[in-house]
Order: sequence, then C-alpha cells, then structure tokens
Amino acid sequence: MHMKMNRCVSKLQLALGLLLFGWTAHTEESDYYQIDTFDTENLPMEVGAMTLLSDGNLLVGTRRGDVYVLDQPYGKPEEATFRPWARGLAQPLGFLEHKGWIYTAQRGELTRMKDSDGDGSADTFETVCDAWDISGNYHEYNFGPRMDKEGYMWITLNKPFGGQPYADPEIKQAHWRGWAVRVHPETGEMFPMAAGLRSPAGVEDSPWGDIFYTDNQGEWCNASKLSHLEFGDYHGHPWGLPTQTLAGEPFDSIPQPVSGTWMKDMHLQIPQFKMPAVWFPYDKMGKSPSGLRWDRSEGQFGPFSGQLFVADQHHATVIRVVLEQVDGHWQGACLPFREGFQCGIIRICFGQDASLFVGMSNAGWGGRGNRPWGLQRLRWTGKTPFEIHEMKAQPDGFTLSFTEPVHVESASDPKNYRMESYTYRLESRYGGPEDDKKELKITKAVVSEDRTRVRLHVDALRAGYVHELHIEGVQNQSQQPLLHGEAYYTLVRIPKTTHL
Amino acid sequence: MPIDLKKDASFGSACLLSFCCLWNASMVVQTAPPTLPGYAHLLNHSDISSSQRGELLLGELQCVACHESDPASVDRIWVRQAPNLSAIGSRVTPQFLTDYLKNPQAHVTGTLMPNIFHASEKQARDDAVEYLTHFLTSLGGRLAAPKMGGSDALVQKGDDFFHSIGCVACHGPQREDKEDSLYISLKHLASKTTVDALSDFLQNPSLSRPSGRMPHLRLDAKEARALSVFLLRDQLHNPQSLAADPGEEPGLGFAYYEIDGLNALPNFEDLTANAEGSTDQITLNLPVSKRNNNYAIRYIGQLHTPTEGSYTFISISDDGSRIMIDGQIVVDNDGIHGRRARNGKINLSAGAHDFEVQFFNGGGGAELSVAWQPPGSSGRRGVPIPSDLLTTRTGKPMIPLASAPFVSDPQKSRMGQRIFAAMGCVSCHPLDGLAPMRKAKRLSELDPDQNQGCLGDTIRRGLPHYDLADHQRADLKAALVAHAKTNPPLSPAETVQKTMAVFNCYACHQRDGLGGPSTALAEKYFKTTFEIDLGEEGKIPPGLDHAGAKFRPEALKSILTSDKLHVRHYMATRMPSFSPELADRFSQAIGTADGQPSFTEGPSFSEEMAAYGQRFVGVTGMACITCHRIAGQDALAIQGIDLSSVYDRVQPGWFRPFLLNPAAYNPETRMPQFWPDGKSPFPDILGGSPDQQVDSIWTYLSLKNSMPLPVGITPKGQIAMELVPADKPIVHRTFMKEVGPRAVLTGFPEKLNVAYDFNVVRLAKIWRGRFFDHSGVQSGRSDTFLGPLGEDVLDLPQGPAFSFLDAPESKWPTPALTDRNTGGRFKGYRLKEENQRPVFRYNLESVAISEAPEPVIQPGGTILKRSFSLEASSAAKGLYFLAGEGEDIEQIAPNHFKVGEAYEVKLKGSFPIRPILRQKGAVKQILIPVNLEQGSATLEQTIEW
Repeated sequence: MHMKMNRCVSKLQLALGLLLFGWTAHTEESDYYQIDTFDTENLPMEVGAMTLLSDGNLLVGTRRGDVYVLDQPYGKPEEATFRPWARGLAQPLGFLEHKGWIYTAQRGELTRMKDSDGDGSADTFETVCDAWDISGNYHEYNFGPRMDKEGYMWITLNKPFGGQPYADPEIKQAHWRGWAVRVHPETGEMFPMAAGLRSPAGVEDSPWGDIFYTDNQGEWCNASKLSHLEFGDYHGHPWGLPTQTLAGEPFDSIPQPVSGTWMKDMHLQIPQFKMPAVWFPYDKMGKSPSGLRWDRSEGQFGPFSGQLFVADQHHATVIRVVLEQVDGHWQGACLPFREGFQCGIIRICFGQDASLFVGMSNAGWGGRGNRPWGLQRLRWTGKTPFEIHEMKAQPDGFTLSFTEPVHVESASDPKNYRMESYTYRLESRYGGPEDDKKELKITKAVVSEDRTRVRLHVDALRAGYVHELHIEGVQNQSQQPLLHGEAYYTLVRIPKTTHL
Repeated sequence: MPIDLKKDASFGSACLLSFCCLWNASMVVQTAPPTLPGYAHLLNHSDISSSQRGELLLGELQCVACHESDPASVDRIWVRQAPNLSAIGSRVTPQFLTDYLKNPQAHVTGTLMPNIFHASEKQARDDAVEYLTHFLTSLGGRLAAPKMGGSDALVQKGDDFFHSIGCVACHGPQREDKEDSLYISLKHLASKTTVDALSDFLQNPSLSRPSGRMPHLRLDAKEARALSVFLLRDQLHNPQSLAADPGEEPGLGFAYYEIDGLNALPNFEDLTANAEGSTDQITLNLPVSKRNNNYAIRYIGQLHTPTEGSYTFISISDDGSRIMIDGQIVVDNDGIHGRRARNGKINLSAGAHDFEVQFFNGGGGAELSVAWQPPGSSGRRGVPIPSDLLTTRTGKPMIPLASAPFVSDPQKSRMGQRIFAAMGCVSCHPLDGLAPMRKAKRLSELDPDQNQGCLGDTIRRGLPHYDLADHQRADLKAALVAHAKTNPPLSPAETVQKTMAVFNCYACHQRDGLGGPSTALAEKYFKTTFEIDLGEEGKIPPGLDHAGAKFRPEALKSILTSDKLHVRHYMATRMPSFSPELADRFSQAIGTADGQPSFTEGPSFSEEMAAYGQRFVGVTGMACITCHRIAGQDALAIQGIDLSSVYDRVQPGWFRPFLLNPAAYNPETRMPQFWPDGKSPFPDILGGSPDQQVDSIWTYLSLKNSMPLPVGITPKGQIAMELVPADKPIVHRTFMKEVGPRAVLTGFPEKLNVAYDFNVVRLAKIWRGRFFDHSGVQSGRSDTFLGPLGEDVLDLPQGPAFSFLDAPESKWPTPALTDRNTGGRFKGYRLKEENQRPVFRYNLESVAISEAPEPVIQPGGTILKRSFSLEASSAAKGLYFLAGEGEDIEQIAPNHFKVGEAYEVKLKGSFPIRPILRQKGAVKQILIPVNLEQGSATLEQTIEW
C-alpha cells in the first residue's frame, strides 16, 4: 500500500514535471547542429586541405598528398563520391581557387595546378614560389594560401622540431621557418610579413580582407591563440629570428625575447610584439587550434553570421569566436560551439549550402574521437539554440547579447555570473599556467529593454588578461538554460568609451 | 702556553682537553651556515613546523652522535652517517685535509662538518691538524698519483653531463663563478682529489658516504671520468699539471658520426660524434657502428716510428678516406667510390707523430684498410701498422692544486689517532678499534632555553661550531622541545615527507605543493635527450602526488633501487638509485599515506577483453600508439612511455580513473581525455561503458611484451606505405635519402624509377623494380629519409645536368648539401595527356629547359631515356650538358660512352653532338656543348645500366 502510494506520487510528480517543466529538459548541441558522416573507412581521408570550388563541389586534399573532388557533397552523405583529382603532393595544407588554378602550399613550395586537358584530373603543376628553405624536418609544414585584400597570397610556415639534416650551415636551421609571408600569385615574389610564429596551423582572410592565424601552444607560445597578422608583427617565438637579416626592416631590430616576461609587457621589450586577438585557454577551449572560417552565410548557418569558427585538432571540436576592434586592436572572446566529431580536426570549410565541412586526421597528434581520419558535415537544423551571441568589452565590464530574449529576473541577478581573470608569460618552457589569477566581482547585471542584451559591471577589468565568464541560472523567456554558459574574453585593451 | 705535542709521546687525554681549551678570539673567517638543500625546501611553508625541520637537522648534523637519546626519539631522527674515513687517505690529498681541518667551513662553503678548532690557539690547532692529517692519510693507503688526465673536450662533455643528468638539483649550476648558498659546494674539489679517485667515488658513492645522501647515479667509467675532469677542471691550468708528462695508452681513439647525405669526408671539427671509444686496430668493425650507410669515423692518436726515413702509407677504402700525419694530408682517397687504393709518401723522424685516419661511407659497400711500408721494406702492398706503435694520449695531466710532497710520519700519525678519538671525531666517523673518549649530555637533558652549548650565541671552546643560521638554531630548539615530550613513530605521511627532504627528492619531484625544480633550473637544466614534443612532461621528473596509489609497491622499490622500470627514456635527468632499506621504507609509507585505490585487483582476464583493448590502443581506437611506444616498437609520432611497461608499474585501480581524466592528475598533460564527460566515443563497444573499455585496455596491456601489436604499428623493417605504379606513372614529392628534402620521384609501370633533387635541380637516382615506401614522411611525425625500394640503383653525378661554363675546361659545379638551384630554377611539371608521364621544367638563366624521363623497355631490363628541349630567350653561349662522370670512361662510338662498369650513355641531338671527354681531378667527365644558336635545341640521352 505504502509502496503503491509512493508510486502514485512519483507518477504524479512526473506528470507535473512534464507539464510544467517539460521544456526545461536538457537540450543538446545535436538538436541545433547535426553531424553527417561521409564514408571514408577504406580511403585514408587524412584531410589537410579543403576548398569550395566555383562549381559548388568540394576539393579535399590529404596529408598523404592525394587530392579528391567530393562530387554531390550536399545530399545524403552516402550519395557523395570522392573522385581522384591529383596525387603525390608533399603535405598540402591549404587550397585556394584563383583564376582557374588551384593554389596550394606544399612543403617545398607554393604550387598552382589545374586540369588543362579537361579529363577530370590535374595535369599541370607550376611552381609559383619556393623561396623558403627546408631543413628536412617533419614539422616544417606550410599552411595556406589565403588571399588578402591587395591580392597577395599569405602562407604561414611552421618551425621544425627535431632533426634537421639539411640545415643551413650558417644558421644551423632553415630560413623562413616561423614566419608568415605573402606571395604575388603571378610573379611568385615572396615578401616577409610577420615573424615569431610557432605552429601556425590555420590561416584565413577575414570578411574585411585582413589575415588572421591560429597558433599552437608550446615553447614561446605559452597559450594557443588567434592573432591578427599585419606587416611588421612579431608574435613571440624566437625560432625564425636568424632570418631577420634577410627580412630587413622592421624585422632586423627584433631582439631575443626575455623568458618569463608577462605577455602584456612584451611590447616594452619588443615594440613589434603583437598581442593575440584571442587566447584559447588550455583544455578548456581545446588544446590545438587549426582551421578557421568566418560564417559568411548571412544566417543560413544559424544565428552566428559574421562570426568566426575555429577547429581544434585535439578536442575534435569547433568553437566560436566573436571579435571587435578596440583602440585599433582586434580582440574578443571564444565560446564552445560543437563537440563530438570523429577525429581531431584540421580543416573546416563552408559549402555552397552553408553547411560546414569538417576534415580531420590524427596522424601524429593524438586526440579525441573514434576514427583516425574523416570528413564530416555540420548542418544547422533550423532551430536556434539559446546561446551567448556576442560578448563586447566596455570600460567597466562587458555587454552580452543572446540569441533569444532572456528571462529578466534570472539574467539581472549578478550571482548568476562568475568571472575569473588570468594571463600568461612569454616563456621558453612548454605551454604555461594560467597565471596571476583573480576572481572578479560582477557588481551589476542590467538587462536591456529588448531583453536580448545584458550589461555586466565588473570590478575591475584587467588589461592583458583573459576574462573567463561562467553563467549559471540565466534563462530564456521559456526558462531554458543556456546551451553553453561560458565565454573567454581576451581583454588586450579596455575601451575608453561605452559602445553598443 | 702551547703544548709541545712532539715532545710528549705519551700524550694523555687530560692534556688534550686542556689543549682544546686554549682561546684565541682573533679568528674571524667568512663562512656560511650548513647547506641542506632538502631542508631548504621545507622553509617558508605554512604546513611544515619548525620542530619538523629541526628534527631533520638533528639527524643531518648528527647531534645524537654525541647527545644520546632514547630509541623512540632516534627512530624519528634518521641520523646521517658522516663519511666513512677508513680509506680517506686513498681519496684525498694531505694538503686538502690540512686546510679543511683547520677551518672546514671556510674551506668548503656550507659544509656540515663543524669547526672543532674555532676557539683554539693557532699553533695548537696547526699542530693538531698536522697530526690528524698524518693519521688520516695513513688510512687506506696514500692517494695514488693521477693516471687519468683530461682535455678541453672532456671538460665540455662533463660539463654537459653535469648540467643535464640532474647534478644541478643538489649542487647547483657550475657555470658561474658566484656560488648559491642553496646548493652543496663543489668548488674545493680541485685541491682535494684526483680524476681517478673522484671517478671511483662517483661510480660508487655509498662506499665512503654510507647514508646515501649522495646517491648512486649508475655512472659508467666514461661518464664518471668526464664528470671528474669537469669538476676538477682547474687542475688543467695548475702549473704542476702543465709541467707534468702526459701519459699514453695503447691503441687509437676513434669518433663515430652519423651524417645524412655524405658525398665527401665531412669537416670533423664542426661535428659532434655520436659515439667515441678506443681501438687497437683501424677497423670498421667497431662496437658503436650502427649504420651501414651515411656515417664517418675518425681515428686519432700517435704513431711511434722506429727509425727516421721515408714512409709510404696506403689506404684502401669504399667510400672515401684520408691519412694525416702531423696535420698534413699524406693519403687522399676522398669522394664516393668503390674499393680504391691510394698511397702517399712522407719523411718522418723517429719518435711520436700525430696520426689520424678519416673515413666515410655514403651508401653501398663499405671498406677500410690502412697499411704502410716503413723504410727498407719491400712489397708493393705494404703491411699493417703494428698496433704497439699506435697510442693515444690519456689527456693533459691533472694534478691536484697546490700539491706538495708529503712524508708520512708514523709517530705523528699515532698522535693524530689519539686526537681523533679524544676530540670526538670518531663519534661521527666511526673507525674500527677507536671509541669516543667522552660523551656529551643526553639529548633530553639539553635545555633549549639556555643560550649555551652548540646552540648558544657563542660556542664554548671544545664544542663543535656548526655556524648555524638563526632559523636553523630556532628549528633545532623547537625539535629539542618536541623530543623532550613523547616521540610517537613517524606517520606514513611524515616518513614520505622526511625521505623526500633528507634525500632531496624535492629537488626534482613535487608533492603536496612542496618541491620541484625552480623555474630558473627547470628552464636551463631539465631537458630531453632528444627533441621530443612532450612539453614540460618530457623534461621535468613527474610529481609524486598520488604516487603511492599509482605504483605497485614492488615497482616502486625497483624504481628506487635500480634503473628497472625507469620508463622515461627521453628525459635527460637521471633518477638515482637508493638503498633497498630506504626503498622498502619509502614505498610502504607512500602506499599507506596515499591510500590504496578503490580496487587493487585488475579485471579478470579474457581473450575477448584483450582483443577489445588491442583495438582501442591501435589507430582503430584511441590511437594510444600515436604517442606511446608499444612492446619495443616505435610510436607513430611521439616516442612516449612504452605501454608494455604499464602492467608492471601501476595499479589497475589507479589506471582506470587516470585514463578517464588524465588532466585531473596533471592539468598540463598532453594526454587526451578520450572519454569526455564520461562518454565513450565508441558507444557500440562493451555497451559504451567507459569503465569496461578501460578495463579492456588494461587486460590487453597485461600481456606485456607478448602482446599482439595493434593496428597502425608496422614492425621495424617492414614496408608500411608502398606506392605501386600499377597502370600509370606516379609522380611523388617527398624527402628521399641521398636525394634531399625537395625530391620529386616518378615510378613507371615499366619498373623504371627516377628521383630528381629539385633543391639542386638534377636527376639524382634511377633504379628498377619496386618504387618507394612513403611512410618515411607520411606516417605520423616521421621525417625518415628512405631510399629506393627496388634494385639496380644507379647514382648519377652530384652536379646539375646543365651548366654555363666560362671555358670548356672550367670546373663543373659541385653543389654543397644545402645549395639551391645550381642547375636552374624548378618550375614544375605537366603530365602528358596520352600516358601521364611527367615533363619537368626548369629555367637556367635565360634558358627554359624541359626534361622528359621515359622508360624504354628492352631485353635485359628497362632503360632510361631523357629527352630535353631547350629554349633560349636571349643568346645563350657556353651551355654544357654533363652526360656522364666516373673514374674510367671509355668512348665506344662517337656518341656512345661506357662509364666504368656502372652504365653506358648514348646521345642524340637536334644539333651535331661534339662530346668533350675530360679529366677533372680524380674523375673523368663527358661534356656536351649545347648549340643554341637557333634559339632552341633538343637533346636525348639514354642511360643503360
């Protein structure tokens, strides 16, 4: 009897729960963004390069040097086919279609290739630029090219790691490793653009024609990051400095950095030092950032149009980055977006239908997932997740916008927000701890009239620090929680005036 | 009034005591308090009490050697034993003993040895020290004259070694003049001992330092010698060393080098040897030789010629060699070649001459034999140089600083022996047959509140003066107070902490927030032995939080006492070995302190579970083999800890939670969390249960070295990724051995393969049969330069195919290893529509050249045809084609040549071919002047081999 009643009560509770709180049931990323998988079980699809062709098909290059056209990429995955287009390239890690050619940065050169006789596979391979050296080390990968607004092609060059049998006898390494360069696509002339890169696995042009790149944490790059690449920048790694004599001004005046300096103070030591746009805190926002693409779909890929998506080779995730320019410096926040891909991701690429193609390989770098390689596709289901939409810095805090109007009571309670700040040193050691940590007090949370924005007042902001925000308890109007309640804003500069 | 000890042969204890009481207040010497690096880690830490630190000092300063205490108290104290002096005479110079005993702290900064004579009258002290010196030097026989010498190279080697294996953890960096009081000083060593004695000590420190504070580092004789030469390096500049004769040992020294892409003898001065040793014969059969190709050896020593006269030396080698005497090249047999003899003559005086033989092998067969014809001998071939005429200098002599003749006096020695007993030296340094002549108060009777005794502001005459720092005195007093109460046995946690402080484990290992190398040390002196992308985990010894729960107790013991289960092969810092007693005590204590994991029995074994585990470990699963070696096989990318050691080392109950969340054990770990949020990426295997999946990995690893290899591992020596040109050619860019990092290979279905070096722009290699294994650069992080898979490999000239020459006799360019574009600028290639065969393009100045290599099938095997087409945009004069190069070239027909036994070439052109056959140095060359008067030309070369 007693038992029975209990059961009745629990049934009642369940029914009530369903009635009242059914919509608060936990939602998942897959409700909003779905992953489709192309069958690559028997094809070593270690994707290193991808681009959307002008005919709408996808060109996919593998780290083993094979290139395929993915025919019918937008329908059911099982209907798509991989058609061999070229082979024998040396680690192609980026494609760009330009004037009928496919440009690719291989290990030894920037190459352009095309199918001249129209038989469906490439037959002409031209060396555009091979002005950099190779010491014979596996880690001498090159990424790109991406074209800037002036029509030059940018390439980022990895530094080696280990044996260098063909090192230049004078500098005991190869020239131009650890640099970003740009190349004239016709003449092949190469121009040094920025020094101090470590393992710049992603390079991308922004909608406004600037170039950004991702770098992997390690020695002298003590937290993974996204950085804006501009002529004359120095990004912190000393490896490439012996090439400064070839590079000329302003690179020839960069001294060896002093290990242990706070990142925010590095410009005092080296004026050319460039702070990142966004740091990706270790393990929280991945471990190894790679490919990146801006959402230029104007809403076809969901509510994040104009924002940047960055892949991670270790966590098999795609994260989201929102940027703003403060006092001339590009900076912003990174936020979780989608996890659960089948392997560590190297390249992402938007298709014609605004789905995101995701190419991966774990060769050489362990990571999450259940396959050694793969090509997947991320589609927006049409449902809008309740997410932080943007995070912008203010002189005394941040403004958050949301993808939906918020529940005013929960969103205006400062206790529902927690903020911690920390920074990094530039050091010779590998990686680096989140240093000089401090919890920051949220003094006020003010919801905008249209309820889509919340103004956070923070006591007090710290320039040069990551501001890690955790939101718990903020709900939308239907009292759902956020899909992801965290954001990591790299506050290089504090704005002087309030802006929207 | 000083006592004349010399007159008083019957010297009694009463006299001795009065001698100790003589007072001289004028002595002021710069000293430092006792240096105890392990103790220093406990300072300024809120969790560590003053009495805990003081208890450590009671042991390390051996207070209870004089102040007896009850067993419960002594059990907590862990009394250090002072050096065993029973053979001190054979280790230390008399001069050092004298200087040191007069004022230990002034002579060895931070020494733990107290000053006994701090309040003695100088003459009395000097007399006592003289007798003690005579006594001590009589123990164990006299320090032998040094046999081993040193060299700048050995100093460098020892320096590198000292600063990489972890000596700095206790002794601090030795590269700067200023000493850091944190570290145990070594500055005095050059006057203390010899290379021989120090090497012996370093190889077995517990013989003379029984309590293991200086641990066993398992040094071999060579390592110990290099370290000793480094530590005693000041002796190299000792005027006494400079005046001494260098010793010699039989045989030649050799150095072995591994260098890729060799085509001539390297400049050895710029290179670091992969291995060194000595040999009594000039032979390639050295124990260190690992490679068959791409290595070089240099043999160096002295040749002792019996008479004056003209000597002929002969070197027969494959590939190059050279004989040098007194810095002069006598036989030059350099370059890539088959077995070839060269000889040279030189007039030599009788006696010692610097003698050196250099050798390298690029690829293929290897051979070296060196012979001579001494004056008056007959026979064209020469005879081997008798091995007793070849010696190596043992190095520059190294004599301890300020060495002086010392004549031992038995009578003084006897008096020294009595002083040794009477003054209580024997309390700390026990010697057979000697007993302390007096005892101090018991420990419990000492009153810490009284400002007196060893801890007083002024130390009374006759008492040992430790030169303690204020905080050390305070800590000792706190410990005295604590010990006067109850003395419970040390808890396991206390035992762990005490062990780590006493033996300075904290120098390298962090635990409970204590210890670990300082940032400054970590940055400079904690390295990997080769470049491995493991981050700080690869360099810094692991933290010991949870270690008691992690390790199997037996494994921990073995790690502490031997190098068994030292699995971090990439870490330069060497984990020392400690005594079995210590290992027992420590492993038991840490096991109890950390608590055992929730389960200690692994899952029950089943083949099915092991098979799942095998799948997870391979690329079919979590791909653990990306970063972990397995059963002796290389990992795909990072050569991390071999997984076959896991089962012996760690407990299953630790393994599971660790695998599920590695970052909980080390936030900076590179190890991925394969089950994020407790979810398996393999929901269909074992019900998607993370626990069961980890258990299956454990089950698989329990097979240890007999485990079947997981998918993804290709056993050494097997072909992993063979490229097979089945129906059309494969053009493939890669790294290739002897071709370079910008190699472009083509494999034709006709079983002809060609490899171009587009760093230089030249055809480098052709071969028949199987094409190429591209796993050298395509698997994981490999950058192995692999060679051809097939057979009939023919190496073509190192220089470019085309070059402009000022004159027909001008030198053909010979590019160095890293030279670029000697043969033009590579412009790419196209694949011919009809057969997909490549046509390569390159520009040499104003001439655009295309080159189409093609197979020509014929009986006896496919041959190569190279068709060139040249277009000049402006008048191009003086362009030549190098059609062949070799020692012997024979012209068979006007346009047909035979190059040694290696190959034949035939030539055709759109212009009349007028070959030039010329001798250039040791080789002959066939040059074809290219006629570009028409603005364009074609040329065809067939190579048959």
